[in-house]
Amino acid sequence: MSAAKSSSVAARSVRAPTMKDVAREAGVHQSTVSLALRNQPGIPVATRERVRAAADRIGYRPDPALDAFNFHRLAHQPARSSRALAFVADAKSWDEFSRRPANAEILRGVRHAAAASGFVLESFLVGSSQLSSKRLDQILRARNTSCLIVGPLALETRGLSLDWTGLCAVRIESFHLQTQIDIVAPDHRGAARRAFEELRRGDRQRRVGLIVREDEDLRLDGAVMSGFLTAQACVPDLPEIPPYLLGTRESVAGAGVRRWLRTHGVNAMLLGESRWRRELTETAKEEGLSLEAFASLDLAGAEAGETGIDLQYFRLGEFAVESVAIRRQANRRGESVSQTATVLPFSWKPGR
Amino acid sequence: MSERLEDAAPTAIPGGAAPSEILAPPPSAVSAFAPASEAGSVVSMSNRPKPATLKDVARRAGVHFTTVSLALRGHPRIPLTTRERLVRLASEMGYTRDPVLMALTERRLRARASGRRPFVALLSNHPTRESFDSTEHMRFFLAGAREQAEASGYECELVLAAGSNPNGAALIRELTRRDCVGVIFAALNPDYPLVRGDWSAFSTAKIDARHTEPDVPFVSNDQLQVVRLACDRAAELGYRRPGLEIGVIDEQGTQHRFTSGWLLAQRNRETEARVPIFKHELAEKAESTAQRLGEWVRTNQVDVVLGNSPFTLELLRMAGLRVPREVGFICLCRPSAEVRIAGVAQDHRLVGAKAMELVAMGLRIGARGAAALRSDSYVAGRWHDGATAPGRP
Repeated sequence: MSAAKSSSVAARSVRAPTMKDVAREAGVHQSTVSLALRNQPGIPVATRERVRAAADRIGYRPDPALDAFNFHRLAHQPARSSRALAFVADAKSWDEFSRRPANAEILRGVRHAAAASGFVLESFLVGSSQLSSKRLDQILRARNTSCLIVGPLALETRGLSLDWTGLCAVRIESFHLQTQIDIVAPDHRGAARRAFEELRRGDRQRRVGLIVREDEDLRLDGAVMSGFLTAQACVPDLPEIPPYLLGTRESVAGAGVRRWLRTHGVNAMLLGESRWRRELTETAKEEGLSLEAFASLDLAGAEAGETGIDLQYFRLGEFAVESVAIRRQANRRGESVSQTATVLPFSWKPGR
Repeated sequence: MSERLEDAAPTAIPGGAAPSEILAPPPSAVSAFAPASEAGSVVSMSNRPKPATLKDVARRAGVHFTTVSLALRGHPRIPLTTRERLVRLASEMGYTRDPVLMALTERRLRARASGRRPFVALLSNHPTRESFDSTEHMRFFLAGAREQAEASGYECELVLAAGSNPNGAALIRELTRRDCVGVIFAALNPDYPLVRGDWSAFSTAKIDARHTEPDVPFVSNDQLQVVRLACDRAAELGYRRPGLEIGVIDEQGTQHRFTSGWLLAQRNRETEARVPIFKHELAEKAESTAQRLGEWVRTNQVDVVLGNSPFTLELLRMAGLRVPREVGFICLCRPSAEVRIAGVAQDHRLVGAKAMELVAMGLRIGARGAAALRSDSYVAGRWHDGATAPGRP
């Protein structure tokens, strides 16, 4: 009898403390504990600290199995409580935003993963004719929205004046933003290297050039350019062809591109955007040059049948949501102490 | 302006019933098993289809839900006819046992009963705990992974797996036995034999050593950013002829990220104005490297050397060059104890935390082994002034 009794005592002592135990310890309701541990701004700071201290004292920690369980249930059922996830872009309208196929794919991925995680997605446009980021900050606060994905922003949008401290956030591309929010992006550097190697696989003598929009590459922190330069540097004794950085209003049929084509005898081409191909072929012909091969780097989104890189933007959107979700689970809010960038794999399409 | 794009919609996941399949059965199928009044409560569902649960089946059959549970698992204590009846009813109502749910419930119960949290192993091939602890970046990888594990509710334990386990299979068996759910491969030696094996049961990530098996989410310091930062600061300090010195093995192990950073930083210089990268092989003797390094510095009039290791200081000394009077030195991976050395300190703690975050992400979405998405994460470093590169007037 006494043996049975002592074993039941032992069983009780190893039981992991629950949220209810924390509530009792701190003298608040269980739901307050839940909110406080997730650092919800609705709970006074003093209470949040008191609850956290109580949780630490009795050794309460969130249970990942339970969280996975809830995640699983939400995947089956429509979300009842609103777990809002904000998506921010800086286009003039959503139509304009989605006209870039890459954006449309990213948003599709975001929607898909948000639905699977039980997030309610709300999207916002910021910019001169839209919301100011200050106003956005107020809205997020008022709605208690603490999960945020910053979509691919244009170079002109230098920063978002948001109070990041309470936010679980990631940004898609947008390396140029003045913030330490973690980045998710396609592996542009690796993709440029791969495309360079693929074009030379067909013919070792090919003189491969790169045209990319200057603002686009700045937005990506020089990733495309560095991939191209590195690919050239990895071939011994290859005379360097400098990348051609296209100005905002410049055409691929312009004088600058013509001079560059002639100077370097370019006969194969990596294109930031595949839609330049036809015009470039014409331009080269007029200069008495022939461009034998093209590969698209998929910076604007894929065109069917085009040879080149597929940056898998749908998966990028999904990954952004999953990153925010895991951050929320671990209650990791605000900016990182050191900037972290995660790049995702691409694939090569042989095409026409 | 705000616009709601889409409400979260119920999504069918593999193994679960699709919403369209779990609509209520026709009334004729209902009345055979339960009084009409009770059947009514089952049939009257909200607009949104809800998957049938064990309790729904039990209510319809007029038995306790534990009976349904036992019957569906084929327990001999339940009479065969009852078992068959309940199995048929459950399938009519669209109730399916969900393997994911079952596994989660069971794991949770086990974790609770043993008072232990699911654990993630940080795998290292350092021979002893002393040698692990004496390696600064290893210590920080572990500390960062532990902090992140704590926040997500996992345990993170160091597993030293050199020597004692002859192969990967034995190690994998041992980790499975200990209820390990995730593994961080922490900067393993490239010739490490233990990593070969089937890791598909774990959520995994690896730190450094990117070219080693297995091919899983990868985290490291951002060498590309580190080189650019070092070049920017060197320019601010007044150096005009920076030169990059790098081991071939480091360059290959990082898929040429040192070169990428260097080329980006130097892109505005004419090709002739650039100092060629100085490369050396691991097999080369230090005397020989030092001699070539000295020649490279003198021929190219290098005024500051960017190198990956503090050992470069020793090589410069062997080459008869005085630092910083004749040439400056910037370390690209500055150990925190070397306060004299100028350079970039890498954030190993955040690298460890990021690896743990990727493991937790894999566990959350149930992607393990080959199903996990490959990704490469890079953590930026921070600049520290030091006496080896005081700047040029």
